[in-house]
Amino acid sequence: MPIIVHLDKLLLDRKLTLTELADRVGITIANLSILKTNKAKAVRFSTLEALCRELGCQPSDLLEYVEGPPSPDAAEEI
Amino acid sequence: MHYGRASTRRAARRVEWGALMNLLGKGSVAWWIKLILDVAWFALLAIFVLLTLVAVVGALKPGGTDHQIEMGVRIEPDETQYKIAAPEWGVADAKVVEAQGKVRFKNPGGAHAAALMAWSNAMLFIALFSVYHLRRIFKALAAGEPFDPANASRIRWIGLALIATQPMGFLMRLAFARQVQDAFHAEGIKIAPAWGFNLVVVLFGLMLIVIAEAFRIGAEMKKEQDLTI
Repeated sequence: MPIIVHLDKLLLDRKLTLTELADRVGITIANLSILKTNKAKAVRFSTLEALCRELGCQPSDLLEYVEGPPSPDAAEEI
Repeated sequence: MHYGRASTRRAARRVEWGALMNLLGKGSVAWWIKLILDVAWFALLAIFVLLTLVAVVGALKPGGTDHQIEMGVRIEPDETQYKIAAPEWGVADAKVVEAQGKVRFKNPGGAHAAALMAWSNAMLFIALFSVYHLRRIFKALAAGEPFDPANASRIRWIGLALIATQPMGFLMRLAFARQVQDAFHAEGIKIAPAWGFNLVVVLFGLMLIVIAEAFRIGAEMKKEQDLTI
């Protein structure tokens, strides 16, 4: 998938566990795990905002675009 | 509670209706319908197995069986044999222009009776097939999952099965028309197979196929929503 989520790296740098981050951000561990493993189809701005706030980072630190084959269900979204 | 905007008021009405009647999920209306369909399924299955056995025995046993066969027919009475009047209405002479009904007779055995029974069983099989899929749909609804991806396919199959009954029935009656007319004799009336190609059933089947497509799109949207964090 072209969009990579660097949640693992950021959690390690901030010395946070997935559970702690899930509690602070207010989403379930299962959903955070989906994000971490790059299986998510979309991320809400509100979730991105909460992640950046709790991890003290910019969206560009969290998300990276890598050249590659498009996602299987790529759709036009605004 | 005051609801200012029209859209908020509409949303409030939807919430109240949902609270009045538990439609999806455990113990809901869907759950009870699923229970009824379960009973119907097993009852239909038992009838199907029984009728299949009766049909096989009836075809093989010389002289047939005591099982009664019913066949839908058109009845064309001889106009010279009857007079219908309604004097209070000022009607002196009315005519029967179309009469449909059934003839019932003891299974005589042999190829014709076997074909009739095979036809009845084919219709019963379609009913079983439809109830099977309907059960699965309501199982998903009772679990609170209306947009189960398989539901689209199940609704489509029910629509196709409904549509299939009409040309099947028409062809069956066409194949047997001459034989029924030649075989059944009665004083003053002519008996012919009932034609009955019901366009309403075909239209309903098409509606279900369109609704199935809406469910497919709904399932895709739900899948997208589930993977939106």
